[in-house]
Amino acid sequence: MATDLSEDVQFFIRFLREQHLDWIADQLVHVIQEGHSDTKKVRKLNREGVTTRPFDPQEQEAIILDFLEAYFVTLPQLLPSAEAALNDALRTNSSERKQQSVHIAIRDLEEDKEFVSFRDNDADVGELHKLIKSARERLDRRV
Amino acid sequence: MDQQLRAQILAVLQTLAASSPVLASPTATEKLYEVFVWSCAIRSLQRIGATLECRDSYDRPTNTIVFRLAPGLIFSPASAPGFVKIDYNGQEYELHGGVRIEGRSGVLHELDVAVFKRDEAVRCRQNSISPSYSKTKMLFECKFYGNSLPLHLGREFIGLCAECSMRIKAIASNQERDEIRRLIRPHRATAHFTISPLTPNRVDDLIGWLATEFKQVL
Repeated sequence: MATDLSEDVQFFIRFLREQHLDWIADQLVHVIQEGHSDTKKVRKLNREGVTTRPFDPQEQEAIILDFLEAYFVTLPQLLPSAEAALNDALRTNSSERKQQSVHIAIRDLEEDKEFVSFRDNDADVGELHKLIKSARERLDRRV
Repeated sequence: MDQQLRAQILAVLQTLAASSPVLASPTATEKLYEVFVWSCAIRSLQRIGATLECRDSYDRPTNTIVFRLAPGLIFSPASAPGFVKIDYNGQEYELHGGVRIEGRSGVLHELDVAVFKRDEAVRCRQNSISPSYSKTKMLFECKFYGNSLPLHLGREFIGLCAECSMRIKAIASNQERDEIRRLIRPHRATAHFTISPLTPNRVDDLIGWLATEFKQVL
């Protein structure tokens, strides 16, 4: 489907490519170019059919915000959240009632070293989350 | 988008991108999500009162659970992940993340999150073989995406379900796609979408559902 990428999409795609995050940029372009699918009743055929149309600029903006939230807000919280859940469970459900906390590590087999997912960035993640919420509110008011 | 807001977002993104080596590859982001879903299974086991113990890939007690970026073989400590040993109702099981199992056809498949019977896992480690789907009590496929999930993930998941018949077969994602939900329903699989630390109520629903299912199969 030929979809014109909005100015906002082009702006953030440029940023992602500059940061060597081409795989995220490619995913974003793919989602937007796939277009929006709707199921609607086709009277002539007396059955439902799927139609696809291009995303408008505001829908594209909502998609960008989803992407930024997923990769820059949600992702940094996954490992700390998992580690907290594991340690909480071990405090209540471990046979040994260990006091020492358990660490979750991800190792790269080829390099055999611990993979660093994020460096201290809680404040920036919180700030970005606020900005995304604000952008969504403004977008909702425009729609 | 408002120009000033866009500039503010860009400024924060530049700092975050520089401090996020994980973003360099989709493999690493998927792995983080698998670990998160794995921890949801831990919370379900906590809820049903199972006794839990962390073990390393050699089956020794540990204070560090190691996951691997690539799928591992349970009998190869260099590639296998650490796991949690589960005691429940007088039976023992193991909760793993990112190991291969043997499907109905004899072909190996990677499971993102899985529970095995402990005696099967021990037998596999001793005999250098992979666990059979028939001794697997639960499987989760985990997908982390920026927006709507691609439909082909649903088709691939159906293939996995055909190879690994068991009661608890589920796909979890931070995003959603209604077509995938419809696609997998006839295969008696379950979709758990919009699951992330940003949606605690959805996470709680998943934990509750899984706790109920664990009570049926463990």
